Amino acid sequence: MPDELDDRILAVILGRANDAERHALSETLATSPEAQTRFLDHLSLQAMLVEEAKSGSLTADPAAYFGNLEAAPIASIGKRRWFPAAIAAILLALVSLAALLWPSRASAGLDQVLQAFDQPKDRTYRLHVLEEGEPVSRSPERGRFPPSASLDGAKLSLRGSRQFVLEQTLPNSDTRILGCDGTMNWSVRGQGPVRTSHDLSRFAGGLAGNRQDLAFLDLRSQLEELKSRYDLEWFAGKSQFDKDGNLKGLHGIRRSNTQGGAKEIELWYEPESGLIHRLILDGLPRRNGGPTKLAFILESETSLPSDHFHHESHHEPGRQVIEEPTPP
Amino acid sequence: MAPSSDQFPPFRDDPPEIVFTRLLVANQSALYGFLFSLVQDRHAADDLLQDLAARLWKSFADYDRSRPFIAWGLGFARLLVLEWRRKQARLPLPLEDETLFALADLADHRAHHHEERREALRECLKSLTPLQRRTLHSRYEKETSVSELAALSKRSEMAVYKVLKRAHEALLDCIHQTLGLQNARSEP
Repeated sequence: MPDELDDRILAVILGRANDAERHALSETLATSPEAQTRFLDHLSLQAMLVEEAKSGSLTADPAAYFGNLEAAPIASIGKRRWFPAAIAAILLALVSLAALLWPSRASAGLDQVLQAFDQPKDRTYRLHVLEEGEPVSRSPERGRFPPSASLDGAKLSLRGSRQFVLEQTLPNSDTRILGCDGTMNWSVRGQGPVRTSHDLSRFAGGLAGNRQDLAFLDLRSQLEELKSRYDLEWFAGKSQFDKDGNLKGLHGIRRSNTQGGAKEIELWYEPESGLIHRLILDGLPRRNGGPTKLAFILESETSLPSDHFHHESHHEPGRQVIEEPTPP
Repeated sequence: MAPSSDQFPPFRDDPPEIVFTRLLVANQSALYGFLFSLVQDRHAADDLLQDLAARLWKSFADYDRSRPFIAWGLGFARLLVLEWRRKQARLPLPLEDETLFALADLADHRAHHHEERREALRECLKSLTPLQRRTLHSRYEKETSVSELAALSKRSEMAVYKVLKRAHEALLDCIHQTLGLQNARSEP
C-alpha cells in the first residue's frame, strides 16, 4: 500500500486536509477497494483510540490518571468535572440568547439583558436530572473508573457572568463544592484539601455535551455560536408552572448533528429582566453516562453573602489549599 | 475479553429492559465504531449512538433473539447514518452512495469482530513509545488538533503529524499481525 494513501487518509481524519485533498480521497475511495479497506482500517482504529483515551488506558499510569481525576477536579480539562460549571455558562449565555430573539427589539433587548447580566445579581437554581445516559461497558481488568457525581438535586448559585458555586452530593455522601470567584476556580471535596486554579480556560473542557473548543467564557462570541446553531420558536400560550403568564418560552432545536450540545433546549424567562426561570437541556451526548436530560429550576433570587463565591466560605479556616500550576 | 451478545446466559426470564441494557452495553463499542467509521466525526457518532439506542429500544419487541444483537443493531445504524448524511450541508468527507455502501459493508463485517480487534489494540498499545502514547492520548482524549498539540509540545505541526502517523501505522500493522492476518492490508 503506497505511503501516499496513508498520508491522504490521515490528513483527512486528523483534520489537516483541504477541500481538494478531501475530494481526491473521495475519488480514490470510489475506485479502489484496497483504499476502502485501508480507510476503514484507520477509521476503526481511530474510533477505538477515542474509547481507549476516554478510559485512560493510553496514559502511562492509568491508576494515577484516575486518581488525579477523582482527587483534583480542577486539575485538567476533562469534560465530566467542569460539566456543572459549563452548564452555568450555558445558562447565562442563554439569557442573552433569549433577548437576542426578542422580536422587533432584539438589539435593544440584547443590550439590556447583557447589561443586566453583567450586574452582580445573585440567583440560585436547583438541578434535576430528568434522564440518565447509559453507562459505558468496561472490562473489570480495566481498573477503577471515576465515580460520577450526580447532578440531581445539586444547587447552583450564580453572580454576574463569572461567579458561581455548585454544591453536589457524591455517591459516598461527601459533598463536592465547585466554584469560581471571578478570578480563580476552586474545588472542595469532603474534608480534603481545597484545590484552586487561576486558569479560567479550564472551563472550556466541560461545556455540556458540547465541543470542548467552544470559548464560552467569551459570552458575546458564544451568542453568535448559539444563535447560529439552533432553530428557535416561541412556545404558544402559558406554561403549567407560570400561573401568572409572565414568562416567555423558547424552544430550540439544534440544526446539525455535526455540532455538539443539547439537541433541544426549553427556556422560560422573564422578558423584563432576562432572568431564566426554567431551562431544560435535552439530548446531551453523554456516552460515559451522566445526564442526557437536565433541568435548571430557579429557586431563589435572594442576595447571597458577599463572600459566598470564595472558597473560604465553604470550609473551616486552616484547610490546606493546593494551587494547581497554570499550564504554559 | 468482553462478552459478545451471544455469550450471555439464557435471558428468557429477565425483564426486557434488563436484557436490552445488557445487549446494548455489550455491543455499544462495536456499534460506535461502525457509526464513527461512516460519519467520521466523534460528536456526530456520539449523538447517533444515542439515537440508535432509542430506536433499538423502541423496536426491541420485534428483535428475534435467535439472531446476534449486533447484526440487528447494525441494520438500524446503517439507516441512521444514511439519514444523517442526507441532512448535512457539509460532510467531513463527500462520498458517492455506492462508495458509502461499500464502506458500510466493510464496517459491518468488522463490527462482528470488534472485540477481537480491540483486544489486539490493547496489546499493541504496549509496543508504542512513551511519546507516541502521550501524543495519542492528547489527541484522542480531548480531540486536541494537530496544531494545538504542536503549540503545547513546542514542536512543529509536521513533527506531531509524523508521530501520529507512525503510531497509527505501527498499531495497524501490529493489530493485523496479532489477528494472524497474512495479508495485513487486504483483510476486510
